[in-house]
Amino acid sequence: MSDNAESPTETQKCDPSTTQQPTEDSGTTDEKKKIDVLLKAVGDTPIMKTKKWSVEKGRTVQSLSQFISRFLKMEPNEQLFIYVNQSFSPSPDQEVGVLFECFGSDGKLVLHYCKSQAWG
Amino acid sequence: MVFFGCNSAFFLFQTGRVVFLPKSSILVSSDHMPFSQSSSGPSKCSLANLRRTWTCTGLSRGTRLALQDLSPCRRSVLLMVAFVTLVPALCRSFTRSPSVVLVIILTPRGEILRGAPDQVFFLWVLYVFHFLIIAPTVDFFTLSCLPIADSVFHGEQCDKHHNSLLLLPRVSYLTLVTDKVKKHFLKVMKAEDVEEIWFEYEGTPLKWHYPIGLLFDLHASNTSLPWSITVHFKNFPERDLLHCPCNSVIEAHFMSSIKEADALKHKSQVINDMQKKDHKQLWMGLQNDKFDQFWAINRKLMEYPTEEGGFRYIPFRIYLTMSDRPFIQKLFRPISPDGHTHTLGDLLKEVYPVAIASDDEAKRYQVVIHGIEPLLETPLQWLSEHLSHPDNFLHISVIPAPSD
Repeated sequence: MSDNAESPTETQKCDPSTTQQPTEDSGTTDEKKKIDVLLKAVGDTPIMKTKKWSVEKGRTVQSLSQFISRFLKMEPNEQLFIYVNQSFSPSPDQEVGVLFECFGSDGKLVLHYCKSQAWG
Repeated sequence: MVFFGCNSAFFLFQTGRVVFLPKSSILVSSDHMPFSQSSSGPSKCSLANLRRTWTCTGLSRGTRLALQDLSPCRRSVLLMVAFVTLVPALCRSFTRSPSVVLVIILTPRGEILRGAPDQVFFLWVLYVFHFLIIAPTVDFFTLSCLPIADSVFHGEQCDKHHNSLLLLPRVSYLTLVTDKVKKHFLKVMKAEDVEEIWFEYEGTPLKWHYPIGLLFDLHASNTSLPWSITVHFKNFPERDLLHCPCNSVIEAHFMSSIKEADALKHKSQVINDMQKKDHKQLWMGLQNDKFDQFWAINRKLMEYPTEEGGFRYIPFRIYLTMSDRPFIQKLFRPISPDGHTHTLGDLLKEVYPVAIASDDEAKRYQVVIHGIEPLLETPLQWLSEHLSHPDNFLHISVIPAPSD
């Protein structure tokens, strides 16, 4: 099952897939395209009841991180670390669409989340 | 070069016997091999010996005569000043290491002072000269030879502009290299007005996590140097910039970029095989601008199995000034399935064909890496190995071509 993420919408960004008019920035159905994200907990971080989410390509890692923190009802001072491929932590302003294109497998992007640094 | 030659000759002489003229407190190199052995009495250094020494250092006759006319004390001081000013200046051209300079400076000290009537006094004089000359030299060494963007920082909230001029390395990050700027402006600001520092150019907040050279190419490549950046200490633009409270944040971002690049190049195998101290060495090499220290580890990240012909995928990001999205990043192989080497042109045709002008139209865009426009025929694998930033990514800017 996959639900839509509920956080406030981001400003719409251009679809990063190859197009012949890269300056076009509104009105196409491509913009609404979503990717599947699988969220996995690391260590003793609470596990989310819903792990699979359908996320807009233009969402940033930071907004996803804030969403997870709210979902898990974490304290404001607690940090959340997101990892791709169990190896690196993407920059908070990175788009999930780009991560999916480069590091997605089996049609989804697997992200690990943790309250403390897991892979440095 | 000639002058350097004569100064190095001076070193050789200094390692020989140095004897004081009995009445004058002159510091003289007397042991010039072919001459001194044949000259009279090693204990007395005559003026004739001095003359021969100067002959070998290549000074003109006029200079020699002028030197002879100086009183001995002035002569010795002049010799010391010449020695400690010229040598670092010449060494600076040939070595970047302050410790090498110090070794060279300090070596003849014993020879200079041997036989001096008042060793303690001259030792102090010599040390004072060393300090005055070497201190700024060492500071000079810590500045990179890479800088391309000169930046003039204007202060805000000051009654008059307080400007700070700095040479910034293209490959580093703004918040890593601007400690001096911060200190400079903090002197003229009230403590309660100071929050997190951030930078802006012509209304655009500058992302500190982009390399400085990339920021310059994207925003200001067609302007004249120095690049004028405004420093702010208030009203941090939360929507546009990431916070950078300390250097460890920059280090974490830098290491993550390297790991992401290696995930594309080698499925993270090379970076995961390295020890923590190797990762630290990459960061320290960047932070302290130590090329050799950095590349001792980075070269392993640039290797690939011979049978593959290149990396698995090339880590690249194409930045556009005319688009909302931050950058284009996709999977792209350096070698095609039929063994043909991909070039920069092939990459652009695949991911951003607008950048390449067709034959019959004028060039609208420039494709810039590190401030230069590489030929589109350049192999992408080569670009990745040699023109990547320290974070192992090829940061490519596509900017409008200047209209003539």
